[in-house]
Amino acid sequence: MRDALARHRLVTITGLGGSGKTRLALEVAASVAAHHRDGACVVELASVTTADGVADAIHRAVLPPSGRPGVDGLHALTGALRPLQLLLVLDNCEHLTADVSRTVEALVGACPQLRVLATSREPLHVAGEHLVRLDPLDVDPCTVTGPSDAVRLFLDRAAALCPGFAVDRDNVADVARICRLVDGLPLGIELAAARVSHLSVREIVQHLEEQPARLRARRPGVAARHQTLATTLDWSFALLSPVEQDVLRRLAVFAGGAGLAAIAAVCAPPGSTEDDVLDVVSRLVDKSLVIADRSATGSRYRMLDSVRRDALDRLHAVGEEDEVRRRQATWLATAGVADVDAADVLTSLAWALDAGEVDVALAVAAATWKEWEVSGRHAEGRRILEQVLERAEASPTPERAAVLVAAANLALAAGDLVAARRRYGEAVDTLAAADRPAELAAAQNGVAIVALFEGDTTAAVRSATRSLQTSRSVGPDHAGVAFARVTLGMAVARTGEHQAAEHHLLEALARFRRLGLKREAASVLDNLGNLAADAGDPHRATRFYEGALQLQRDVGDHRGAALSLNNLCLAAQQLGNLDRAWEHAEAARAAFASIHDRLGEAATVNNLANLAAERGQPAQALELYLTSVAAFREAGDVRRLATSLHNLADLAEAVDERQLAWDRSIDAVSLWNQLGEDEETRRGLGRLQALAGAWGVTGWELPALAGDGSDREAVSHALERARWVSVPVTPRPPVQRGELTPREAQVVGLVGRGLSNAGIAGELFISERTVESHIANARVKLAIDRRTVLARWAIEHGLSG
Amino acid sequence: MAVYMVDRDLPGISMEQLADAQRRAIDWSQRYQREGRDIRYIRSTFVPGEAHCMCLFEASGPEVVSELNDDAEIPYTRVTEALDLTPAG
Repeated sequence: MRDALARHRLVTITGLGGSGKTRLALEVAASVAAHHRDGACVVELASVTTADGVADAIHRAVLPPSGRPGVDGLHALTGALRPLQLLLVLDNCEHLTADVSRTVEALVGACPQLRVLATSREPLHVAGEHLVRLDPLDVDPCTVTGPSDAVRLFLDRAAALCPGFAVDRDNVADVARICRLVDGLPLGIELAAARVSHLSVREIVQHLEEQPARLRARRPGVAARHQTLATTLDWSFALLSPVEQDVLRRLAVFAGGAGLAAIAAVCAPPGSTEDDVLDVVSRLVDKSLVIADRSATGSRYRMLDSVRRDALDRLHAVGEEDEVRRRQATWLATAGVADVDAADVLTSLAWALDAGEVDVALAVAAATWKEWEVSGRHAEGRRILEQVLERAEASPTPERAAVLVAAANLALAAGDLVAARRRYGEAVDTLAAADRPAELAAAQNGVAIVALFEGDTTAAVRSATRSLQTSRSVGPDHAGVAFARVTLGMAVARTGEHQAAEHHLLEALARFRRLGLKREAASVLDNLGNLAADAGDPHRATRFYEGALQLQRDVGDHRGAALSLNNLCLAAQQLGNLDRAWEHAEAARAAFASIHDRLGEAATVNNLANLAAERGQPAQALELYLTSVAAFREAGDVRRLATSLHNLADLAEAVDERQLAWDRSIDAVSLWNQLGEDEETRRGLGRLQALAGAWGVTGWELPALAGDGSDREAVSHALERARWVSVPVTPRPPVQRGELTPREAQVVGLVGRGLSNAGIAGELFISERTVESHIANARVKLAIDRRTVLARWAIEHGLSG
Repeated sequence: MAVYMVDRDLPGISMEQLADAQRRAIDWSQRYQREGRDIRYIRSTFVPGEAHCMCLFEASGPEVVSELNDDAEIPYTRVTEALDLTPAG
């Protein structure tokens, strides 16, 4: 398997249900994760039911909540995964093979360092797919090296549950018979072995032999190739007590597993306590039908996908599905986002809408929408909430208004100000009429935030003031007072009233602290810091940013912490403490890296480069700019790429690397011109003209070619001409191959032969990081920033022969 | 035990309110100590021109200092480790 993954970028493990595909995939992923810079990530697709859901599920699994940029859909996912060197494990793809194939094809095509390991009953039929078929285990009792794999598995499982159990001469034939009866299917063997504490091996054989006839009578539609698994599950189920059967069947509605409180509320007989449930669930775990995932925050219980599908069929067959799904929806509506699997929220909402239970859908949506905001999956959330709102169109109730506010919040987070304004406005009307001040204050504050984003400060102050008054009518300690003050503070800051702005923000901070809302308090401290920095007081700004950082670390908000560290870096730079600034920037870079935020990392590297330049370390600064330029280019952030190129050109000019300064200046202006940034374009053209004048560049007359810089096509033409101009170089000793260390020369030679970094690492038996470092050093020594130019240099200097 | 400084920005605060905040810091410190927690209020410095107040606590860690100030409902912006250089005697 490991070889297959090393040679192929898409490997699919196929086999019957219960053949151990998932277990094998997880073991392989664990053993090769360290070979991938960004590790391995498992995406459980069993609970996904829609085409969009595939990309969303991958997005959710790969990027930690606090690290996710607000992006949705396949295009954005591709962008997020492109820089990662990752093994993606897609488990249980069989029910969505066409959608998974499309997604995998797009990802593998666009993300050169991504590898995919999929498990599916059927192949995905994607070009380049390598199939590994998982056959059932050999069912002979013995092989030349001892007991067969099937017998060994039975023995292991049985001994784990019933210490002292052994396969001996008396029972080996029966154990082999059991393995044969379940066709060597690992799940079947496990379920049978789980019975040894109550039944003798002979009794298990007898039960299994009677089972196929019973199954055919009860479930005539089961396809022949899935009959063995169905037989085994039927038999396991029949041996459960009635209450165990009930809980197992009902637990199937939780595709992502559930904690004890959820199981007690949804699956157990009325009046059951968590202790009663624990007792039943523990017995199901002992019988290998349920898996317990234990963590510090409490255990969760789930089923293997094969078992869950079978249980769901049974739930449907006994006519209980609607009732259990209603109980699940009610529970979701009361439990909120804590302990809820995102996929289960989607399934529950889809069920409520299908069943015409609009009130239930509204309640679930109102209680769970926050998950979409926190996770950054705004488009998915907006899609579902709009569906719910559409179905509830006729009812201007407070419950519907709560979902309106949720939809508006997500629209705002996604930057859709028009939709946000419309939904907040509708909510304000409904809530004012229904006398619901707490929700009304939130909607009014939303209207104020939209106005603030639209630049209408007067309207923002007006709505925020209304929200403040409404919140006060709820109670002096209502959180809405603090939220309104934050908006009011931001709005008055725009009018230059710094003191008043600070007063509002400090009040909000004190209130958020009192209410234990640490994330919100941290955000206020960041705003206070920005306000102080704008007012030219980096000392105060530092105090605020440090306060924010403490809270962000406290609640595990890595993204927020990275941003605060970045702010602290800028404040330290303002104070002239460059060493301190450097420490903060390094810490910010590490924080962004820990959440795989390549863009954030690139921005911090750009800051480090600025600092290195300021500290009088131009070689290091050049190297860092080259890294950040490459990272922005890879991530497709054109605007910041242009800024970084501009910074690079500045430094190159300062250290008299004329060709580099000229070329990167052209690149930066070209990007600004594409973006329609006329002001920046004009400034960039002016700079080129100044360089041309200072260096005596001939054959390129800017004003004649580009006019005043407003004609995009003329500018583009002038820049193309500029690329062909030869810049007179400062006389200096030519760079000799000898200036590179032998290892650098060797690496550069391999670049000239067209090898990738991974290829070079493999060839020289060194890590990719080391290769990157040699190339970066060589680039700085040779003042070459493009790989293609470096390759040409290597060929010209005979390093690639 | 280490010394921690708590920064507070208190624009518009009156001397009475400041004295009340200090009293709450002392009361809550004593209450925490009765509960067996390692924290002691040391002293405060207020800079009227900047509405900036710095309070020193001796404590086993910054978390307990934050918690005390949250409980006492005294606004603050940051808790940071400091050195108290008061000369002996």
